[in-house]
Amino acid sequence: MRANLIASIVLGLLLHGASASGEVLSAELQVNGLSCPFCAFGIEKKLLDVDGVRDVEVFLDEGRIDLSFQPASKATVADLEEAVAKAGFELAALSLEVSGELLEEGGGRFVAHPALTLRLLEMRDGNAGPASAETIRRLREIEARGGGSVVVAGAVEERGAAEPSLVIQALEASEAR
Amino acid sequence: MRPPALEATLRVGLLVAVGAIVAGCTPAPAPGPKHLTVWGTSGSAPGELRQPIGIAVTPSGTVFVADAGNHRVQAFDADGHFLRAFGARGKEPGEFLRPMDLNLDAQGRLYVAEHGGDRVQVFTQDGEPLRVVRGEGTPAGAFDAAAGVLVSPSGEIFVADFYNDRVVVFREDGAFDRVVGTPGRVLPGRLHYPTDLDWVDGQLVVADAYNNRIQLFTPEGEAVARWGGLLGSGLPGDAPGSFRVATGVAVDSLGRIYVADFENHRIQVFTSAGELLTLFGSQGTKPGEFERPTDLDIGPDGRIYVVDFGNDRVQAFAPLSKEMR
Repeated sequence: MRANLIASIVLGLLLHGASASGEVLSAELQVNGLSCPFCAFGIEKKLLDVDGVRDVEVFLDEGRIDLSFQPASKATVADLEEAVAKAGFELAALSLEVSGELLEEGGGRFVAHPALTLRLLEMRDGNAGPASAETIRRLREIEARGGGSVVVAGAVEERGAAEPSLVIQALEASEAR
Repeated sequence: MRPPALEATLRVGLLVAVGAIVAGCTPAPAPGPKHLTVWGTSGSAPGELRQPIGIAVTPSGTVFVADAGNHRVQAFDADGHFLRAFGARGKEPGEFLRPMDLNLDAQGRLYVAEHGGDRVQVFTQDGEPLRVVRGEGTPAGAFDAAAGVLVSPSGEIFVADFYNDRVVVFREDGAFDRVVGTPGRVLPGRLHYPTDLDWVDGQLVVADAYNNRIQLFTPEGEAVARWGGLLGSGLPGDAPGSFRVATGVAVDSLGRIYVADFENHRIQVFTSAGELLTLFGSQGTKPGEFERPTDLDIGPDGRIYVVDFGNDRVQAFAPLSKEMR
């Protein structure tokens, strides 16, 4: 069945140490009602307070916030969510670009990490996800090799769960970058 | 039973009658002032503006603008000609993280409140840093986004502490003295994200921005008056006298209170008792129109300078008639 093709891959992100097996590279946040500069600069301030956030760019009229991270950032999904809440807003959507070591365990693929674990999904609600056929082909290749370093980007779902999901939009082997 | 058409006619007639009574009881506000000039284009070159927010005019007519998007302060003459700029992004003295508001003390020193830097820096008008006021010693231990600053006639420094929902008062030497306002909504004295301050008839005027109202306090902190929304409750609206986020406030030499009504894209002017005198502006990009005005100040000749945030510009208007009181 097509549903059987859903890869339920646990991706742990080792955020301690740039040379280690994973880190958050960038994030895109979507926040509703962000029209006022006092709030926009406030949300910028709160996000800059998150350990490991290097820079924040707020696109006021789009309600979009782009984040970059320092190497070895310890930022987690919960940290970002909390910072947005402290600024008086609710995080509507979150996309991440992360690097990590894709490993296999118990029929799934994962990179173990104590701070943040993302479940990696190819599909969303049983329907085809945003990843292109080429992206899925690359994933299969990496899986066939038994894993390796990857950079993956996508939307984070079930943010409140112990293991939030990341719906793959783009994926490539780290050495390809 | 009345026919539907008659019923509808009666209802319309009743509405018209009620409207006429209400209109008769509420004097129409006077026409707004004449538009004089506009300056600023979006950018980071000298004289250009990016997300300008705060403004202060000196007694000699120099206009200082908090150019928040460029992390700097710029000075212009009264007609908008660029004079100088100082500051860059950073945390060192003389640098800024989102300068938001400006004020001048009796000696002409320029006070700059920083949202991201959680501090107020004091400068000469040439941009030489003199000292820093932080939130140390206050109950919260620090500012959490210093949005507005005011130096009172007696030299006390008032800071609108945005995320702490309070106004913090420091003595002239920078030592913490007291807090004005408590966090909350609706009730007198409660503040929700205050952004700007001024002074009228010996009382503190607070732009209680996200309570959509203006509040007046005694210098000691007793809430004495409020307006905006039903009975000063802060119910947002676009009717004359109501606000949708009241971000900026200024008082002229006659004690008239000017308010930047941010999301209504207009300026409203009141007596010190909160009676509406006039309002002007609407959303747009033409001269005299605004895109989310954030702050305003009054020049020595009564000119009204408005920060037109969303259009990255400053607009100047002619003084209001002295008879409008």
